[in-house]
Order: sequence, then structure tokens, then C-alpha cells
Amino acid sequence: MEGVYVVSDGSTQFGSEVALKWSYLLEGTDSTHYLSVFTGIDAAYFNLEGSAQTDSLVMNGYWRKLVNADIGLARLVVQAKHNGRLQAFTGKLPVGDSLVIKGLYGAGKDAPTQPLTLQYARPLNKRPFSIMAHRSGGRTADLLPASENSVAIIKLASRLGATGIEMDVRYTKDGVPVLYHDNTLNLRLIQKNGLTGSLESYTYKQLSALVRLVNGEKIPTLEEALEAVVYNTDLTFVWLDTKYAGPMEPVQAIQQKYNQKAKQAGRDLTIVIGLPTTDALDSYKALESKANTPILCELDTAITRSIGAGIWAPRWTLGPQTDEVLAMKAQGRTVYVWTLDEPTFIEKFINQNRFDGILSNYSPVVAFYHYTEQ
Amino acid sequence: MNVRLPTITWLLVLLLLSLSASAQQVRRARRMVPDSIDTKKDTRRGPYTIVATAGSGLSYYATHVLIPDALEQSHLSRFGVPASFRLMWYPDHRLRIGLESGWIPMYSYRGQIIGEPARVNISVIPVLVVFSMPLAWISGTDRSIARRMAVTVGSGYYLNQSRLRYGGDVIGSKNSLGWMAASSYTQPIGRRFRVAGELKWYDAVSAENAAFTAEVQLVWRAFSW
Amino acid sequence: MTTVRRKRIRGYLFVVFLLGIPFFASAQSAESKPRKSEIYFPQAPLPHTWRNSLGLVFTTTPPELTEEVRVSVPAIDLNFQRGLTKRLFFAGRFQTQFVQNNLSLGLRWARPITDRLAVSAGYDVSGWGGALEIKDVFSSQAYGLESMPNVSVGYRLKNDLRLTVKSEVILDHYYRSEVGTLAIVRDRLQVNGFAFTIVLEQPFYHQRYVSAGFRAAYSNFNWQLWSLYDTFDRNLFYPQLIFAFIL
Repeated sequence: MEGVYVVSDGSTQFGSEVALKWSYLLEGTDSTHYLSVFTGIDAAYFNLEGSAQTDSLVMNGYWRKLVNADIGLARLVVQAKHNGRLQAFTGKLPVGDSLVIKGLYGAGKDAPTQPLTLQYARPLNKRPFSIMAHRSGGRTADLLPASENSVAIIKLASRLGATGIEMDVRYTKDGVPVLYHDNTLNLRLIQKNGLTGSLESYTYKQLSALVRLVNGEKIPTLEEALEAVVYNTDLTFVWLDTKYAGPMEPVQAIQQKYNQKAKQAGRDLTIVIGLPTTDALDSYKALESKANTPILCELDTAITRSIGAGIWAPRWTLGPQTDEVLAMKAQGRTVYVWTLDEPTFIEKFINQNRFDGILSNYSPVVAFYHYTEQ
Repeated sequence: MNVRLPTITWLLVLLLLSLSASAQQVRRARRMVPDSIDTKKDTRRGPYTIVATAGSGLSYYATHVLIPDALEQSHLSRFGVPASFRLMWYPDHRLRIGLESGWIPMYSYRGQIIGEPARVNISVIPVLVVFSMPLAWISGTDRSIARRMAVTVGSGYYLNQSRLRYGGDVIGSKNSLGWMAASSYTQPIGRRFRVAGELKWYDAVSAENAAFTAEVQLVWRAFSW
Repeated sequence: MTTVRRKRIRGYLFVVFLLGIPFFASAQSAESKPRKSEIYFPQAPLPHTWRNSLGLVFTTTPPELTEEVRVSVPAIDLNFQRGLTKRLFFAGRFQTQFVQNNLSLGLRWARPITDRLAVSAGYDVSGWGGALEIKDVFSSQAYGLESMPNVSVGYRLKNDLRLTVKSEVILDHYYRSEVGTLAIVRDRLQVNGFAFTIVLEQPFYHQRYVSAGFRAAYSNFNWQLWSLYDTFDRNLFYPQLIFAFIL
């Protein structure tokens, strides 16, 4: 079912082409499969869950546009087109038949009434490419159903198109690595409780008891976050952004522990430490051992080379930097660009076909342009 | 862009040189006059006064509060005793400008977390540019009640402070943009002193802290010329 | 800081210096000329004369774009107006933060309704541009064209106090953004948002008048924050404080 589909009914709302991709979520031994639809308009995506009915596969869920607050319900039925006629999809598609997904979408909480028809056109672009979601899956300002840097958004990331995530790591006053982006406790990220000041001035016990993220989640420890990545998701890459000042050893130990756990669980997962500043670089250089410590360097190419970083990640606002990118790739390095949200520039960066991945708050947009690229 | 920016710069230079030249010209009497509705010509100016104000009273935290669920037997207090200071420039017209600061308690809550006491106090220190205007233009003479009443608005920064006592003592602070609106009545009690009563609304917008205060103030007309 | 950027900044400082010349010149000879008491109040300057103001405008950044960092960004704000007829006047405005600038040129037609009340209607066209060259951070520039049809209503209270309310629609005509060698262009006319301004104008010291006001803009895009690459397709609130000396 995965592939690029042509939109007939519904193209004014979702564009003329969409990309369909499966992902899954593991909870213990239970797994739930989700079908995501990535569109080229307004960073829209569908989050659909399948339910097998007597003679067809029905997908229920919602659609959402990240650039605004538009949202609605969707109900789609997967059908096969055989000799020009639609018939129930039985799970197998004979040669010459094609898939057609028909159904309805709505606005808000109203029952879906608007027709949506998707006709299979071609397979997804197979070129290896990392689609990395910022802040563990998405930004709170985009009104997602889970808070940024929460365990809940990590579990949502794959459905938003991400193959990897970037998470922001800080230390509490008593040295517990946790996920939190901003310099201070503020109402952009947490529910109102009156507390102000830096996260680093509070102990984990204080934060755990009194602070909740905007959607009600606890601030997760780095270990809780990586536990979710390894055992609940199909994500293949984690970028630990260094927001802290101080020793890197505790984060390195957790990185190594979960890279090992992923290996033991048979997961294709790489956890890297990101070095965004010279302070972070100094913390990295001060590590006693750098073995089994994959890193990503956001500083210039000379520094990236000098520390032997396997990944170079420049800002997108510097432009495509073609010569530098090609030189770094020629040395066997991976090159990502961050944090790129502007859809037209996302399309241009992907079409240039030089970067190995894009970090974005709009992973559905990156997914759309990557998977539909021919 | 590289070509256009210097072009725009030079156009601006030419435009402004012409402005400069025209400003130096001695203007001739013109037959055409604009549709002016301002026919008054003031010749006497002043007095100008520097006015200092200090006040205190009662504050009430007047916006929503969320006490963390973990707190048992919680108790919330919205009242406090604020203090404020203001330095104003009174020109000979209505609009006055100045600076205001002070200390405004917002709210506090306390309770138990798994048997351990916890307490949180929130307060703000405003640093505001304020504009004030007496209401005399509504009616009456300089001795009217309207002359003694004034509306004041301000905008600037609030330093939001919190103090947590639970598993240690943590004092935190964060800046927030905000505004203030007030109305006051001022009673003369001497040549240089006044007593005022002022009702104020302080709003530290991004921290969502807002309080209503009622203050009695001493107003000192420090310098006048 | 790159050499190119230093040159640009020196260039802008030079422009600002030149901008100051007419204002200081006009200030020196203020006693001998008709009083200049309004910029926002809907009344044309004397025909063939300039009327200027110099001040600052502070724009508060919306939390959707700058997140925890909410600041009030200052810009130098110059208004220069010239009477064309007794009711029609040219209205220019230049706002600068050195690395980004906005020049607005327009026409206003103003007329009194009563001895205290006046109205005006106008149309301003504004070009903006900005460039950022910072090592390892930015190699970006952008520029665009907007226009703002506007109406103002003014009321003169006692003692030379003028109260003006102005409404504007903000229309986007052209936007071009470049990062490195890549560029995108949007040239479709669209409504970007709208703005309301309330301004008080009165004497401040001797014959020097001031404009003090508040502008509330609700718009999809704000030229001052082009480098944040706003992707939200929803109007954000940009409050502005205006304070200027009329020269």
C-alpha cells in the first residue's frame, strides 16, 4: 500500500499528489500499525489506523495542517481497481490491478462529508534519506497533540514522517539528564505553576513533582526517552542536542547503554551526541574515552574533520554550500542540514540531492518531498 | 540584492539632502493654506515639573492559577502588600511621561507532597515607561475634580520571581514583557505635596501574571520651573 | 563579522547621519517657522513644506516565532511628509535596524469635518530588505514589496492634544528570499493582515511636539522578522510602541 498516490477528489485541500507510508508502535508485545499520508500543501498529514472489516480494509483517523490550526476526521476504504472496476481489497493485488483509496474527510469534530480519492501512481522514492523531527518529534507551537520533548511526541514522530529525532538534553540541579529545550521554565513549554528560572536550578525530584509539560506530560529523563525510542518505535536515528554546560560523561554513558540495548533488541538505531557550540566541543574533548561515542558536529568543516565526527550538520540558512558538502561526503561523512521548515526551500534542498537528511519541525513536508521525488 | 541595496541607499541620500536643503530655506508667505483646524497659538510655556510618587496598599492576583496536582491539602493566597515608585515629567500639556518600578506580590500556594511540606511564592518587579494624562479635558477648570483625576498606562519589562521551598530552596526569575493601566485621584495637601489614591492593573503578559492593586500614594513635586 | 557586513553597516550609519541633517536644521530654526504639531493627525502640512518626525518604534516579537525570547525590538523611525495641495500630501516613512530597512512612500488626502474632527485616506507602498552575513550562521537575504491602504480619524482635544486612530490593510505584493545560491519568490497579491494605530500628539517641551502611540498589527508576515522564516499560515499579533519627536 505504500506509495505515491494521485489525488482526484480532495486535491484543492491536499494537493495533487500524496505519499502513503506505514509505521508502527510497539507496546510490550502488542504492535499497532499506522498509515500516514504526507501532502504537499500546508504541511498536512493524516494519521490513520487500520481496522479489517468483513470484506475491506478501513482506515480511520484524523488529518491536520501544521501551518495553521485546520484539523478534521477521515475515514478511508482501501479498494482494488480491477479491469476499471473498484472492488474490495483482499490484501493481495493481482498483476495489472491498482489500489484506490476512497473515503471522506471532514472539518473539526464533524463527521467526514467531503470526498477524498487517492489512486496509486508509483512506489515511494527509495533513496536513503534521513527525515529528522526536531524536538523529539515536533514543536509545541505547531499545536501537536503531544508536547515537544516528551515521551508522547517520540511515539508520534514516525507517524509525522520522521525516521529519526533530535532531542534537547539538559541536566537537573542534581545531575539527571532530562529533555527540555528552553533556558528557563516558561509557559511556552510547561503548564502554569508559577515557577521560573532555569531548569538547572531545580532537582529532578522538584521537577517531577511540580512541573508538567503543556499537554500534561512529565519532563522525561533521557533514559525514559531512549527507552521509548528503542522499545516502542521504529526510529533509526537519535540526535542528542547538547543544551547543557558541563561534563558529557553521564550522557555518553546513557548513549552507549542504549546503543547497546538497541543492538541487543535487533534494532537498526544510532544514537549520536550533537556538538552545537565550542563549549560542547570542549566537553567532548574532555571525555576520557571517545570510543563508541558517535558524534555530530554543527561547527565548521575544519573542526568537524579535526575531531573525526562522522556527521557534519550546518545550518540551512548558510545555503546549500555545495563544495563543502561534496568535500565532506567524499571523506565518507554524512551531511545533514538543520532546522529547515520553509516548504519551498525543503523541496529545493531535496531536489539538489546532496544532503543525507534534513532536520525539521515539519517532518511531514520533508517526507512528502523526499518520497515523491522522482 | 547586492545591486539594489546601494541603489536604494543613494536614492535615500539624495532624498534626504533635498530635505536638508528645504529645511534651510526661508519660507515665503503662501497664498495657499492647509485646511487647518488648529488656530491656537500658544506663546506662554511651562511650568515643567519633575514629580516623584511612592505608594503602597493591597494587591489581588486576578488571573488564573494552576496548583500542581501533586500538592495535597493545598492552600492558595491571592492577596499581598505591594510597593511602587514613579518618577514623572509633567510638561505644560496633558501627556506626562515617566518611569515606574516597585515590588508586587502575585500569589502564593502551599501544601504537602507525600507528607513533605511545599510552598511557592510568586512576585514581580515592574520596570515600566508610563504615560499619564489628567482628565481635565473632559470638563471644568484646573480646580475641577477631573483635573485631579488621571489615567496612566505603562509598558515595559517585569522581572517575575518565584521561590520554591520543597526539597530545598530555589529562587528563580524570568523577564517578561507587560503593561500596566491605572486611574488615580490626587488631593493637594501643600505646595509641593499631594496624596493620591490609585487603582492599578499590572499584567506581565508572557508570564501570565496579573494583579489588581489599590494604593495610597505620596506625591512630591520635586522640581518645577 | 565579515567585511561586506561592516561596509554595509558603515553605509547605513552614513545614511542615518544624513537623515539627521534636515531634522537638526529644522529644529534650529523652529521659532521662525509655523509650528509642526502632527504626523499622524489627519491634516496636510502647508503646501510645499516638509514636516518630519524622528523617533523609535518598538516591536514585540510573537512567542510563536521567538519562543521563550520575547523582546521589544527597536527600530529608528523617520517620517517625512510634504504638502502638495492644501489637502493632499506626500507621506514617507523610513524604519531601519541597519541590517534591515523599510522605506514607505505614499499619498494622503485629508480634510476637516468639524473644527475638531478630521479624516484622511491614503495609500502607502513600502519596500523592505534585509541581509545577514554571519559566519556559520547566516548567508541570507530577503526583500519584498507591500502596500497599505489606510484611513485615519483624528480629534483635537483641548490644549493641542490630538488623538488619531488609523486603520491599515497590509497587502503583500512580492517576496524574495535567498540562502546561499538558492532563492524563492512569491509574487502573488495577498492580504497579509491589518493594523490599528492609536496615537496621541501634543507639545512636550516648548514648541517641540511628540507622537506617542500604539500599533496593533495582526499579520501573517512581518518584514522585521524575515530572518526567522515564519511558516505559520495564521495571523500573529505584533504590538508596536511608537514614540517620536515632531521636527
